Amino acid sequence: MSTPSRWARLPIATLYLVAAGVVLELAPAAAARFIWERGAIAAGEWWRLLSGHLVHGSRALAGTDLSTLLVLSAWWELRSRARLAAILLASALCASAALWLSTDYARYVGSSALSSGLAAAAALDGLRSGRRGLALGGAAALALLAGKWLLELGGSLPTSLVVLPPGTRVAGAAHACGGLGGLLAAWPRRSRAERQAEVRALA
Amino acid sequence: MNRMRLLGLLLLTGLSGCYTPSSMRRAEVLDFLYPAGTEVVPPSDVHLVLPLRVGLAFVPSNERPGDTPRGPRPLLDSLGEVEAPELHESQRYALMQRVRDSFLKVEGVQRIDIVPTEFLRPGGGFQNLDQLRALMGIDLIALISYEQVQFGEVNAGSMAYLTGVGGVIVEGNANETNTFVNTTVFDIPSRALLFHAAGRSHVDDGSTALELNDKLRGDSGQGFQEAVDAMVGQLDGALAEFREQSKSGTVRGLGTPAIDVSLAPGYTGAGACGALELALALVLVAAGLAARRSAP
Repeated sequence: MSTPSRWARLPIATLYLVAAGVVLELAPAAAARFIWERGAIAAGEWWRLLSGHLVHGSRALAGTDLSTLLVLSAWWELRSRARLAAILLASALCASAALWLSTDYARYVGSSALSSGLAAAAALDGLRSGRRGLALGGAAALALLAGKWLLELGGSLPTSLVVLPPGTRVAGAAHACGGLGGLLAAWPRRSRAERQAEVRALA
Repeated sequence: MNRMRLLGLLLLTGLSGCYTPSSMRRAEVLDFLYPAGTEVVPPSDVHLVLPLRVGLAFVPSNERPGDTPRGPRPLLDSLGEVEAPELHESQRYALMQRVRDSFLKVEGVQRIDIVPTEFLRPGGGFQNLDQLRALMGIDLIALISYEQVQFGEVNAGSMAYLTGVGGVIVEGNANETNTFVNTTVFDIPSRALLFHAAGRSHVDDGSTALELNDKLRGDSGQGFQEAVDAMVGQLDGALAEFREQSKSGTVRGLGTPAIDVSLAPGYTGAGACGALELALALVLVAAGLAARRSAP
């Protein structure tokens, strides 16, 4: 029986995802084709609802957002690539829907809605792990995330780690709905095959 | 002998002095906005459109050089004329930059322009601010007002001044500098006061007769710096309080102007990770490493 190679255990999808974010940051012309922009989406460029979550428009914002995404996404990919894809898709779509329906923003930048979804899903995973310490940690993380989203939605908490470019403000709705999307995608319990794959990957 | 005692008594009276204002400089926001004879118009409702453009200026002083009030001055002041220097433009600019830096972090502020002092007239009022708004395209103005009082007295060491050399080596002067600065933020179109923050400082110092002016000038600068530092520390709190209050729909509670905030077309929302997401990510990494180490 062959053992998986060292390369097979790399979170390849995560590395591609983060690399795409870096490229879009370094190539503003390309970013302009993929940014979340209300007018362009209304004109039929639907891919921006997903691709917009990888455009940052500021080196500082890209640095903190992509670093967080790298860790959270790799954590999930090492457990289940399919679950990672589901969480990312649900987070991006929920955040985009919230931005479209409940805000007046002309544009949106940043990947933290994806990180919000991944973090919430990881907290839910811990809560349902069946181990006391992990369950308590997961519950505490979920409570903290929910509190943060509520404060952001109320506009009471300036939460960004970096100074945002002029004319930009933290979109609390994207964080909250991205997080809820992640919870929805992580809600179905993982199949036996997924859990076995995780054990193999982490061994 | 009686003549000598009388002379000594006179000298001691002159030398001891008393705590009286040596010099004062001030520029008050009310003097600027409502000069004597101006009709006071109540502020109207506030409509803020984000992102905001803010002007930052020192209130121009109404006082001309030589106007500073003085009490009876100690006899030995004449060894070096105690003339407190007016806050000059480069000092003002440096102080304004520190206030500006604290405003730059505020979400929803697009630009902060430092307004040169000559753009404001003493007693110019809101008409002057309307001109600035048209000239610089600003929505809000943050006006920095100040009052600084410097006291000077001579102590027993000043007896050595009579020797001539004592005026150079003995610190016979005790100086005290009290500074108060205040930043008041107004919405120019509505004339409404949004919030304000203040800072103060107290500097005690001693000097010889020869270095008196230099010391007073240094104390003055130090006083302004410390007061501005204290004020900047208060600004965040004042701003947070204003934010909370404005959610209730009024600027400062019942009876004050109504306020509403909207976004300008073209505003960008950002999904910016906060400390919580980053901390969770780090906890996951730490937990993963710990699990791997404990694995057989």
